[in-house]
Amino acid sequence: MLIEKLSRTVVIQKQNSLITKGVAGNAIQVNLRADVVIFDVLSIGISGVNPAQKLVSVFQADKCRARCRQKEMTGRFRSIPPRFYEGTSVNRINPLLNMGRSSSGRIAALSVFIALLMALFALPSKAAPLDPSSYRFSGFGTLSLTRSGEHPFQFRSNNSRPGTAVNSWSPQADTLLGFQLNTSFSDRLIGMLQLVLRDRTKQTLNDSVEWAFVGYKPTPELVIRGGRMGLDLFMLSEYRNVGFAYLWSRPPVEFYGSVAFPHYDGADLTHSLPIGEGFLRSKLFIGTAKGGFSSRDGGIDLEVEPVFGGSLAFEQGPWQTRISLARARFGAFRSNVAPLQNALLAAASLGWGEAGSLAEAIDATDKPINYYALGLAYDSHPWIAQAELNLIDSGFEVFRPLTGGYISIGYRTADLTFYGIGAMAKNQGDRKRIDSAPPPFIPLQNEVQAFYDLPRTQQKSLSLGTRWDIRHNLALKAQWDHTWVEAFGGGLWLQEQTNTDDREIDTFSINLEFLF
Amino acid sequence: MTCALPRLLISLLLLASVAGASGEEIAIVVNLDNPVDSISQRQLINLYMGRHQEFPNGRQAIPLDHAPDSAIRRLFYKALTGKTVAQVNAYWARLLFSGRASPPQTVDSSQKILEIINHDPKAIGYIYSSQIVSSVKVIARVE
Repeated sequence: MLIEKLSRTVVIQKQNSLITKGVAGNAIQVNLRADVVIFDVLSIGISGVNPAQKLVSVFQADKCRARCRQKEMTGRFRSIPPRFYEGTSVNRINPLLNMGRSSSGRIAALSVFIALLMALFALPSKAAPLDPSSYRFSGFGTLSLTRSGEHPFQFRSNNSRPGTAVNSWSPQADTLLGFQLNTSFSDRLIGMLQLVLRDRTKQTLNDSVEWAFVGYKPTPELVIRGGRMGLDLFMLSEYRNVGFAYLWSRPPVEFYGSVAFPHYDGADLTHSLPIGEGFLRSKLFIGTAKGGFSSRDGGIDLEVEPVFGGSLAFEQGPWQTRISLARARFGAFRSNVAPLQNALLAAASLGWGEAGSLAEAIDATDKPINYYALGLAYDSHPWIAQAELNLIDSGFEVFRPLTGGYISIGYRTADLTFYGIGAMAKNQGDRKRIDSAPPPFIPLQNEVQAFYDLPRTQQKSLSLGTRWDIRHNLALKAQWDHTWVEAFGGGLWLQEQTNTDDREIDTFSINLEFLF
Repeated sequence: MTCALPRLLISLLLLASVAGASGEEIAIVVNLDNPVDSISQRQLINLYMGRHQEFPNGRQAIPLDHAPDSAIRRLFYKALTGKTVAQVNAYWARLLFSGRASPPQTVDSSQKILEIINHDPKAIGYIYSSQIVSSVKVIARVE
């Protein structure tokens, strides 16, 4: 256990060196290469350490190496990721420091943000000339404060996103700024670029590009697009960053929180057809998507290749319905779980029978994931209602089939809308228990159990909120959510550790949404 | 203009009957060369809510809009969709920021709308009935 602790306190000092704090407090400078880390850590080891403990320490150091390499490859090095430490109390992390933890750029971005918000009211209305080859610049943003969480849960609006400080008002969860450029090269050829600045697990330009496509319209009914586009899985998934476009503080986490892929790179084909009094929009898409599942020690990178699917949406009068299906295959997953896998394979050869099959089960590579969704919306003054239901069915044992759904009803009076939401998300089947390890492998077994428990989701929530349209492009929202999280069911939260009892958590949000 | 006259009279009667109505009648206008003579409310909604950027005869349409703060825009969308300008903007934000369609071009005044329509057979706009001039064709009225 001493060794485990030791390797967990590894501090990333600079890109090419690590400093580990020894038992006696002596700092030892070592090379980034993991085998050296293991060597150093083990060399301080105390005699009498059993093989399983050694294995755990190897695993920890290995895990660290994987993270370091990952950072090295992405060319970005965070000084000290707060979630890297187990012992760090989340309360002590200043949200403003968090905002700027990757670079001072985020503080700068926030200033630009506020400046733009001020400029928003000074902008004259645009009167673009009537020219088919033109461009349009527009944007959207959210200034938000969220107070949520309770030890061991940190709030996040999506599984791929970093957690928010517990029990303090924080801008991290939903604050963002988006810029968009639309161009038409001709009547038939269009292009679009959208950048979204927000707090992210990885802060790269590539991740900030939400949309970048070129589209061609051979006929007015048909559009073919290629490039990067929003993944059109659910009703709001294409515009979930645009708070002004929907009623709530955020799309219901129970439904939208588990989609870890913000966009995909590929192509789609959309056909619009008037039917009777309504419109039917059919879409097919194919591409690859990258996303992630964030966790306290950095999380899991996910990639699906290929992802393909389709949707049918029918709109008539105040009604909208849609059905969508998508199928994907996990790829490039192995590197994330390699340390744990290696430890399991070693354990298998040292006498833990089940370890071999577990090593195979925790690797998502090439396993399928299917999305099925239904949606219905109604919008006619004064009522606005919406409901969606989905099933995310994965062949990856760690992500058990997940059903999610919500129903929202709102009532409008002039510029105010009052609404309520009921939402739930549940993994099918019982919690996977791993209990076959012989005593020396108990620590490793606990690691594997934690890996299985991490994404497990069993929760429901009730929300009440108000949206106030202050201007034609400015709205203020306030929302309260009360969430019931079952034991071992906090997968939608960023968990410092898995909860072994049922919890109830309140989330308060105040959002200022704008368009420009 | 001859066929528009009885409609104008009916509308005026209707206007008179709606006591305390918040505004004037609004006319939907196009270029005189545009072969389209009338447009239904549903077709108008399709055009101004980004579902279908075409005239009833299948030709491409370029809808024009007034400034977001203007009274005529508020009246137009209230009559057409029952929605406030902010609610219409929220709807458009979905289409715009998901790359599906771009909202109608905004023009500063009815005068400019008339100028554009005079020059472009594809353009369609709305003005107060009191601002109608003989160089454009009225294809519908909204109140």
